Amino acid sequence: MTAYKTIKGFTVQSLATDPLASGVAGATWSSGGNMNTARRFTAGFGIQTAAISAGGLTTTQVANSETYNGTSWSEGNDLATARQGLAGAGTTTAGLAFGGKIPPGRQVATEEYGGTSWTSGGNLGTARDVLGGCGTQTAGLAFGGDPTTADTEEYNGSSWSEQNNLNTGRYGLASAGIQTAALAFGGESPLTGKTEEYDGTSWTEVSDLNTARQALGGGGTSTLALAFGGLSPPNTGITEAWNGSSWTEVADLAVARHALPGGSVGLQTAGLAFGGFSPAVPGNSNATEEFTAATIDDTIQNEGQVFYNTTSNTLKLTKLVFGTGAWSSGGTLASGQRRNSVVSCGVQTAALIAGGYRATSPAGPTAFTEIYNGSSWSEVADLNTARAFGSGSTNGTTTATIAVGGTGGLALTELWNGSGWTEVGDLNTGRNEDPGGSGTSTSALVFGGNDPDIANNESWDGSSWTEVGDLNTARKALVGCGVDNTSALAFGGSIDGSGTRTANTETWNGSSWTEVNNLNQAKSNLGGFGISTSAIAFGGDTPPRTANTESWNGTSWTEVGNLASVQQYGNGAGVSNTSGLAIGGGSVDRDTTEEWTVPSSNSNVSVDVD
Amino acid sequence: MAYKYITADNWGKDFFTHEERTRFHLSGHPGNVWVVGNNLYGDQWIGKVSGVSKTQAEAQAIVDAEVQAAQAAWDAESDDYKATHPRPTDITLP
Repeated sequence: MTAYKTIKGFTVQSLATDPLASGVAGATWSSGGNMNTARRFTAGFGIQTAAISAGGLTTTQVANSETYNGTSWSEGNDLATARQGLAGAGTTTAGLAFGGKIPPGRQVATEEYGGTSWTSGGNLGTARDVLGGCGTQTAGLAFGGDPTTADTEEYNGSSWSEQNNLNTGRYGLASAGIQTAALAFGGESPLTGKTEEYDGTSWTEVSDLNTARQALGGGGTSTLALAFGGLSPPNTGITEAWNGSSWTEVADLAVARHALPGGSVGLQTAGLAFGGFSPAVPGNSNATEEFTAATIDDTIQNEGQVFYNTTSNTLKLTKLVFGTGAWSSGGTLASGQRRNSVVSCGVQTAALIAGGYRATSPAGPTAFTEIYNGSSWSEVADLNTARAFGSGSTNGTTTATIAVGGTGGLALTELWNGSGWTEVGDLNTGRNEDPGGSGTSTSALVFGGNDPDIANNESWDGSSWTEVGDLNTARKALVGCGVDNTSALAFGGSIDGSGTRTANTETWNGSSWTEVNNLNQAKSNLGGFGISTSAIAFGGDTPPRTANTESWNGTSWTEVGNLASVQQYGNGAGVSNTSGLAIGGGSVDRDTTEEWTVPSSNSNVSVDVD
Repeated sequence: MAYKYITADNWGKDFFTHEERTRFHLSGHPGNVWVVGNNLYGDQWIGKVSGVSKTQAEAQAIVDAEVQAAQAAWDAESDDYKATHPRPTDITLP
């Protein structure tokens, strides 16, 4: 019987708007209602649907106070004292504005907003402008400011009292949170990305903004904050989200600008930026932007989702798109400089390296084993036999891998169980000089190596080695990777016993090797990681030694971003061409790690049906 | 001048980030010598890592000393080792 769908086809979901990425990572800025008076260095407080902008600078200091209702701004009663560079706290029915400047004098004045008009409050102890501010009308917090100060004061509804200072005095900083849990970030003198957390008593330094800047905007809480815009210089629209421990870049403001409101405005998932100064406008801005994350009522992106956008009349697909790969710095080996490990394996956040050669005193092969947690290396139990220039199950894990061969042509195999090494079945052919390896602790291959170089290939079944099909091209100082003893990739190395470098690449299908497209650069003593369809080759000796990195997509190699440091004899860890590690290396030996990352995100793309 | 030359200790994670690598030239060399692209982002990174400014000649001298030490270590190795492991070569900074 013919199925209905074969006659009529599938129904594709119809949506008026494209699905959104989930969370703050997928949030975007959209335009809101313009302020009535374009200006910069205002006080700001409130939330995305109920906010206040008070005071500021046009061509002179102004007292204007405007209220935003989520759609438009309306003029309210003015501040008693026109000024610029003041900060704000509270809500549209119980607000606070304090400090600021009427050139050349800095101000101590505080005004309280009751929803209709401003009345005087207690003066700050320290006059200042472009300061940080957050909290409520009866529990406010002021910190930093110009002249450069670290001074912190708390407001109790009637007076300010001195508290413990910021660790880094600065002005033009941004703010988030409340009096007992606040965040200060960015600022100037000098330009900084420093972030500090206040617990109601003292400030503690935490992770910096990725982009140092001043006169930026801020909002949210001490654990979920948003930093946006500022002067880096130049004017920037960069927005970063704070998750309680680190900042991550999210979508930029449409209008790059600085001199954004002083005070904490909005939430991380519902932020608000208004006013400021932007050469693009030009000058003072009246633009409002709303940062909005997807809500429970929105359609969230799912990779592979096909839909029809009824607004644009476009058939679309949500697919994973990749950004530009680059190496960043990782942790430093705990045991010092090392290269030519016996085995390195795992992923960027959980890797293992065992053995290796150390050129510094005492020089020679080592038995060190270390595990990486994504930020730092720590030593664990040593190999039973110190060695280097070997191989192993390069797609093993931090809890299960094997180390094979090494210095002097060893046939020795050791099994790692997560806590210690145990000797298991020897290779049939001892090997040295960086043979290739692949697989796991129960299903692996070791191929090539030795001097003169060999094509010999052995397969590990978890207990013993068996000779299987040779490489087409005998070589040493190559790289291998692959998920098990039925699927592997071998690339680079030196051949002919003469040290001639090769770009040759071969794939293993469980019974034989097949030559595929070469590396772009012939090289030996390179590093690498991945699987037979997705791999990275880095460094090596062409000669000269190189920082070159190539990415394998299962068909061909493409040159991508270089290592920061030229190296050979490197050690790799990773299971795809989008994420991995380059560990240690030489020939001027090092103890550093670089992390390879290709960022990715879902994107809605049109499907061509013509 | 296309590059700036500094020394800075690589403290590990986040010494340089993925984002920074995409914004300016950065290459590391022996002796904690870093060659940094001469733009605003490079300047910001130098500030972040408290880089100590060097002239190209000063930076080159630091690298040379490190390479010479590595070459001396190689010279002290066995003939077997030397037969299969090339001597560290000189590095010329860009």
